[in-house]
Amino acid sequence: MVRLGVSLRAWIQRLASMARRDRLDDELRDEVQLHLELRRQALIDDGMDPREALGQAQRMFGNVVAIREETRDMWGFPSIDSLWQDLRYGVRLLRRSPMFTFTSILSLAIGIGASAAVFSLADRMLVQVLPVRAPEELIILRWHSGPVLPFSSLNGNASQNDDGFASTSFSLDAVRRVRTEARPLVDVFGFAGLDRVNLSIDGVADLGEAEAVSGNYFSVLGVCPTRGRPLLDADDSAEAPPAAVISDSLWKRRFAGSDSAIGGTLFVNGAAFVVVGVIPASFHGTGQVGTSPDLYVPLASRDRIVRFDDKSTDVNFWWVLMMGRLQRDVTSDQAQPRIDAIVKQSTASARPALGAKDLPRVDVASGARGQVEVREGVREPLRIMAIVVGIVLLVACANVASLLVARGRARLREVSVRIALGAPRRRIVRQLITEGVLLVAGASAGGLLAARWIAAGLLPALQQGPDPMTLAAGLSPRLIAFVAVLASGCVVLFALTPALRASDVTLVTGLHEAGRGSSSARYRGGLSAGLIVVQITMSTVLVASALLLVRSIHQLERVDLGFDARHLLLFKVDPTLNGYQDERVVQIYEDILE
Amino acid sequence: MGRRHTSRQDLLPGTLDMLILKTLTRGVMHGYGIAEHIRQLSDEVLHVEEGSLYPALQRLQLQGLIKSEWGHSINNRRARYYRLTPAGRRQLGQTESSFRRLIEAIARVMRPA
Repeated sequence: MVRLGVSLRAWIQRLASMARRDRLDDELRDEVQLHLELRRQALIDDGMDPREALGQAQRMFGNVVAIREETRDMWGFPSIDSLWQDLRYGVRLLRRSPMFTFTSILSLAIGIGASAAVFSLADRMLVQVLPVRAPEELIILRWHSGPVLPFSSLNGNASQNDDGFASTSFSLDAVRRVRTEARPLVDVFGFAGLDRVNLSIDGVADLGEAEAVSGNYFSVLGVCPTRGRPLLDADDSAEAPPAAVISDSLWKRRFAGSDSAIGGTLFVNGAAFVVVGVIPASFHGTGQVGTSPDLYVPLASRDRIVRFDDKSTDVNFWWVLMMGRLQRDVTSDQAQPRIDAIVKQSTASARPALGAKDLPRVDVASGARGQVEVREGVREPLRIMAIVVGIVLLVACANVASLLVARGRARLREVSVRIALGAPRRRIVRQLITEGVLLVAGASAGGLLAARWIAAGLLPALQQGPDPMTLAAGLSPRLIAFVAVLASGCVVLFALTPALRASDVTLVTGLHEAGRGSSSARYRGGLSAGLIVVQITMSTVLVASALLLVRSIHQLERVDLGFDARHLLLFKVDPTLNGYQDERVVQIYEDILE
Repeated sequence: MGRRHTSRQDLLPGTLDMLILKTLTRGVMHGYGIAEHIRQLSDEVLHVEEGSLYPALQRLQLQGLIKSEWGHSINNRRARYYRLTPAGRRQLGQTESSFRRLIEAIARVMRPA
């Protein structure tokens, strides 16, 4: 209790003294002055030569600057206070050598920006879960079959190997059966991407992405519209008036974010839909990573949009993906056999010719991140990117470190003078590291700004299908935390060793050598040599891989097309999206040719 | 290398504070007076680097063991005078007795066998 009181009072006094520190400093100076004066007088009284007395008094007193520093540290919050000093001094020094500052910040910013970009991509694609209620309860269903196809046609992702097929698409019948029959175990919903559609609003046409979803899609996911209502089971029937829920981005883009959008009409591939709601900007559907549907329509209205394809209710047409939310206290292992049985049943009744061993086996995977194929596909490219940007960052650190070592040599005199004036070594090290922190802070800010564009530049390299990916980029707390950790690592990598080296100055040689304006060649030879080796190695690796990349792109561009590609423009018109058929399509193409 | 703190090493750790507190039991004093008092009483055996007195005085003040106020010295110079607080007096009693035990223990060990 007493201790607490004492330390509390000490803190209050510190706070108070922070406010009047200049006065305290003056007081201490007066006190020391008086002390020296009295001591000098006493020495003279003892018979000392008055000319020597002051010097002797000072020797008896000790290092005035160090003592003032020590006392001052006691008054305030030494770390914060001298940190501020270090920062100001560091900024001044960095401004004095703009070339060095610019080069260091630029190279670090490139390294940090690239790392941040890859991190944000990896975070978005592999780590982040769907922005829905309790995403860990979600499951996604996949099936494997033998070499005999259990369907007649399939829309979606499928892979084929020697053993057979695997996919995430099911028939509408299977989805409806699982939904009703497995309800005690899992709340299943269906969804399917409808690819590019022609979106026409107030007579202005545009391409957009549409997603067909079951009536319980939004309620099971727990996604609440920001305006209007979600799609409901009542909407998901052929007789219901066609309803659509639009994305926040489409709402802002095409409806100017107006409330009157609700109840408005839009035409999807020529079919009219009434907008009933707007979903939050954070939700981008449960499809592949990088997709972002502009609107959601009921599964039952698919045939109104996609006209020249199999009928959506065809039991041998597999096109719906299935996800679900496990009921309370049900594990995915408990749900799997039941779902498997239902899907087998549905398949067997649709294709009686199939043998029991040809029926698809359903397994259950975590649905916390939505559809999985692209995510699995980007894992490897992302890993390679991470390695490359890691090397870039290391090279940048080595660059800056060797610049700092060179600067450390040039600053030998400054450091020696500061030590001579009584600065403790840790203070010098801290000063040098503060400069490193300043550089990294500048570079991190630049890197974070650049990360967006770098990520956008890297995205096409991760693209798996023909459609470009879109990822809502932005600063997330996780990204900022990552950059902060990265930046601290960089400081340790490039600033700590040069700082320790530079401050390890034997006073006499330091002043001496610096005074001569030269430094002996052996001084710190080892560190710079090591850094140069690291730099050259890393750069060689980088240049080699960059050359390979450029060369393959170059060769792709040089492929002989067999015709003169200059002054040619490629564009595509697809009137079939809007329901133009047969002769009318030909007519339109002829019109365009003229 | 730069600085030397020989004075600190010449004293047992924590003794400087105790010496200051003990000196202040004699009454109100300024820094120089305290330094001079310690120097003279110890027959100049205790070599205190005089400057190190001032951080110690600050520390004791922050701990609430001593108080200070500005006044005028004999030759009419502005000087800061330190005085012991009741807490400082209690603290001195504790350190004194533990110091005495320490000295006695060392003396017993060092006594000729």
